[in-house]
Amino acid sequence: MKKRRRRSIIAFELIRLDRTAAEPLHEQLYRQIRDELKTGTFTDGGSRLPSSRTLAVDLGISRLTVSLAFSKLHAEGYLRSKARSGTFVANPLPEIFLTADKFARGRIRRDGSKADPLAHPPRVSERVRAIPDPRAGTQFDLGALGAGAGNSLVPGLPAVDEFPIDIWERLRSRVLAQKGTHLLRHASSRGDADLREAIATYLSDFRGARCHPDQVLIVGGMQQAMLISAMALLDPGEPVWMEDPGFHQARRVFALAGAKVVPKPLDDEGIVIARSSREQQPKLIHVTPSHQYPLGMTMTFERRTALLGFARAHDAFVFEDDFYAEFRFTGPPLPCLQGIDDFGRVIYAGTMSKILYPSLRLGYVVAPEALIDPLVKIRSTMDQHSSAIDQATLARFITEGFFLSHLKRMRRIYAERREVFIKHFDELLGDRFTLQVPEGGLNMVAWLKREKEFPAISRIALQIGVKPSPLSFYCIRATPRPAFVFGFAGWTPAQIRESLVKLASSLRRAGIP
Amino acid sequence: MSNKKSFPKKRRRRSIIAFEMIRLDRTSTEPLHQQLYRQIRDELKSGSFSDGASRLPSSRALATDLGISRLTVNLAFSKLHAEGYLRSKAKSGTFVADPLPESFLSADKFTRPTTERVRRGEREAYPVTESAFRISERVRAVPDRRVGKQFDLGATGAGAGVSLVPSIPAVDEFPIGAWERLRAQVLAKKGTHLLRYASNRGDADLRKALATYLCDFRAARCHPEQIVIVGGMQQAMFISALALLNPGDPAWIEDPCYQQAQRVLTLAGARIVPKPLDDQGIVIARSPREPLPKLIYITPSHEFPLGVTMSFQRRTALLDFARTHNAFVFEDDYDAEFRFTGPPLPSVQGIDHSGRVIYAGTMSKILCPSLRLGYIVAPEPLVDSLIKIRSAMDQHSSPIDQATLARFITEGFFLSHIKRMRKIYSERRDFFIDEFNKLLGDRFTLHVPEAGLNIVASLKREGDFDAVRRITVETAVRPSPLSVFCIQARLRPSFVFGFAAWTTAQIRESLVKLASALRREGI
Repeated sequence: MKKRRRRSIIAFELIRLDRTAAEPLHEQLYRQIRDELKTGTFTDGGSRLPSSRTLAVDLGISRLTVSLAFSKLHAEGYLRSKARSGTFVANPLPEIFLTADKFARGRIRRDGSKADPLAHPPRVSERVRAIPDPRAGTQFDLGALGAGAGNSLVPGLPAVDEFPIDIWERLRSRVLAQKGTHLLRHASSRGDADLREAIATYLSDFRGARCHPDQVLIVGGMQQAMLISAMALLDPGEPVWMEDPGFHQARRVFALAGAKVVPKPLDDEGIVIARSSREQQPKLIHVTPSHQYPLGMTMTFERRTALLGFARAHDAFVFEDDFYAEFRFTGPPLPCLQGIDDFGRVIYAGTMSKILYPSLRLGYVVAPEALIDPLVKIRSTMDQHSSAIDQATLARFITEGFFLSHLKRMRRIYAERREVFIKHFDELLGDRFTLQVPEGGLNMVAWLKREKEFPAISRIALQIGVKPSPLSFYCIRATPRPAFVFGFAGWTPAQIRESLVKLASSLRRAGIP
Repeated sequence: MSNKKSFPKKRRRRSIIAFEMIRLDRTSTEPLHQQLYRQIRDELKSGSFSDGASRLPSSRALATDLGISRLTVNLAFSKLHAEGYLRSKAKSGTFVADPLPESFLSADKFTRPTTERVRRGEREAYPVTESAFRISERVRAVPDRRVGKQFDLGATGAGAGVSLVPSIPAVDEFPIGAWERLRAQVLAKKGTHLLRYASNRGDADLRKALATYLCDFRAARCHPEQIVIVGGMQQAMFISALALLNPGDPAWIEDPCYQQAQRVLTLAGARIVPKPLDDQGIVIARSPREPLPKLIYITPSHEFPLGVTMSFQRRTALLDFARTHNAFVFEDDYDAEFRFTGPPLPSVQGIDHSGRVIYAGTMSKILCPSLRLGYIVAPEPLVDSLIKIRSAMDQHSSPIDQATLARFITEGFFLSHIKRMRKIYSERRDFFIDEFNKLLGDRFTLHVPEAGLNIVASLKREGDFDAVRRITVETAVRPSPLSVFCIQARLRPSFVFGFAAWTTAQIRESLVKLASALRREGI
């Protein structure tokens, strides 16, 4: 008892207050006591402070000044009070791990030694381990496509620099002025009503979808659309069919949902529905009928009908991922699967990521009515809703016609880039690759003419930052001939040409015949 | 098809008949091909050609008939093609599409199928799933009975005009003007970079700003690399639960508790084990038959909804328990910033020495709910798994919002906003307590917590509950019955009032309305 009291008094004899300083007295007192405590000699939890009265008398200041300093120290966790026994130095002190140590990694024990963070390595769940994604640490910072600055011809990247962000921001401020703080509150888990109506109209008019706005659900992009649908329809371990090769993120999403991913091969009409008798019935079938990702074929009308018939016969749902449908350059468009489905077996989903810009994180699901409530329930549980301001802005962007004119403009820009890409590619790399030109989409598959060149080309492409994805990246069980998937959308004709020249000359220099 | 073979004449005649109605006006400003397109479309819309076998005349024949160039006809045809009205068959010509886009658009647009039409076997405007299908167990297990438009009111179910609903912050005090200015600055500086796919981990500046804030003000111990930006508290919970729990693994939660926590953990497949509370917080005692938890969800700064602050001893005991049994503690620090009396306790994360705490916070209460931004501070070995889930789930939160928030924090707006809100809320709280005790003190006992934006009022006469509940619904003064937050707990009939989102005048008005309605009803 004695010792503790003496120790705290000793410390406070070092306090020097300067009445001429601009800093208020209580602030000086607070700072000096805090610095004393920071030295760490009082952290056994038993160090008591003198009473505010005593300290005031000792220092010749008012008791109010002392109280002010104490309450600040209290508030910051340096002191704690015990009823009827006074004020004590807190243990642990906030300071032992702050300031100097701030951002020091790992855990620091009270004795100063670092705890071994791997003493109990956490056992993460099966489903996390099941997600095929080998990235770690800062690799996650590059975004979904791993495309850092300076890389080119990466598939899946739209031309965001063509997005009319000024118009968008003007609409945003108009929407804010009009709807005010209403947009700051918790919003509908189904999505903004105006936006749902605008999307229903757009889809009915331009994608041949058949939907009422109440069937439209606004989500945070295509992956969330898939995750919500899978969680609504599947219990862990139930099968999902996927195109193979297919959209890599779909595979990750379904693994996260606990699904058993069953890869299905493709032919030139689309997904092959044939099923061995031992095989389990799928609950959900993920398809990209407008433009298969990544191979680019359009699912034929016959296959569409067959798929719908299969889904109906086996009580499965078809998830129609219509991500690139707006960008079709040759051939007549087919209406979406959802539009020819008479039995409510299609969940249709689209995203603004490619049409507008990826970081907007807005997409939509059109689902049979009976599925809507379960989907909304999941959304409401998972993360409530998407930004109300962004949704209202997008609704205005569509209803005021900016959406369609942007789409038209981008279609023209992409068509031009596509032509340039095809022309230069064939010119510069036509001896090594066979370019497979699809009717739509922003990617193209280039097949190697000599398969054994694959490792060398992969290495060189990586080195020079021209980064098409190897086709194998999208494969689950399929083992197609070596090929690369090139994206052409995110680069100007000059950049496309430059990248292709760079790739061609590096390959030549490396002595690849 | 057999149809097609038996009546080829008729089909051809029908299509030719239709196109005799076409009248092109060369003096009109509308281009000829556009007129042609429009008139053919209108003909098709009339619906008499939708048997899928109606063939169009060749473009050459039509051009000759109408006395226009073949190019004009081709332009019109290709537009009709593009919009799905026509389809081509190799070597047999151009046919009317079946179904026509129009058969379900325009007039019918947005009319819903009726059961009557279903019974008549009519071709439906909107596909209706005919056979029953099974919704997954996990979704059915989520305790949430809302349907349809009820989901439009947001999590708190608070529509316009209702008052004293718990958990709603005062969004009208949010400095949206300053926020939008920062947004414009951020956009001007970083440009289109902010429109691209972004880090799954979250904006680096924001993570650093939050780490600093949490170290300084919540006594958390964290490096920016331990922070993952998420889309709010529920996503923080969901991601953490998905990372740690296999379906069926037990998770402890406080009872009564934040009802969204129960929903999220259920959706993640957890087996929910409700734990009672005493005046120090969650009770850790466990019967030997009870399975060990993988995750323990707590709100230590200010238990939701009871308002208990978890004592230091309980915090230490909980951490020891977690370490001994290899469990993780999920610390939901949702409105720790709003503490009005008593010294603040540092976060549980800050006193954890064994990396067993996942700390999470949200901007929903401090700034505004629709921003959908929150953060997780996780032990380092868990961070990659959490990011992997986020990346599979929905990639990332808006980088523009994240960059704006980073600026909002680093330029000092954040702290001054918190300070300002603390003052406003403190005033509203005092006012609420005074008025409540004056007007309703004879019926309720108010349990004033040290922190938070809600206050529990228990009924003095339990028998009043049903009537009071009915009257709150009728008067739109809508505190939540405490029972909606209870899982197994049986507590005195009480209501949870929110005071934060209403001005003092509105608070008085609501309390007067409630008190006089109760009096009128003779309660």
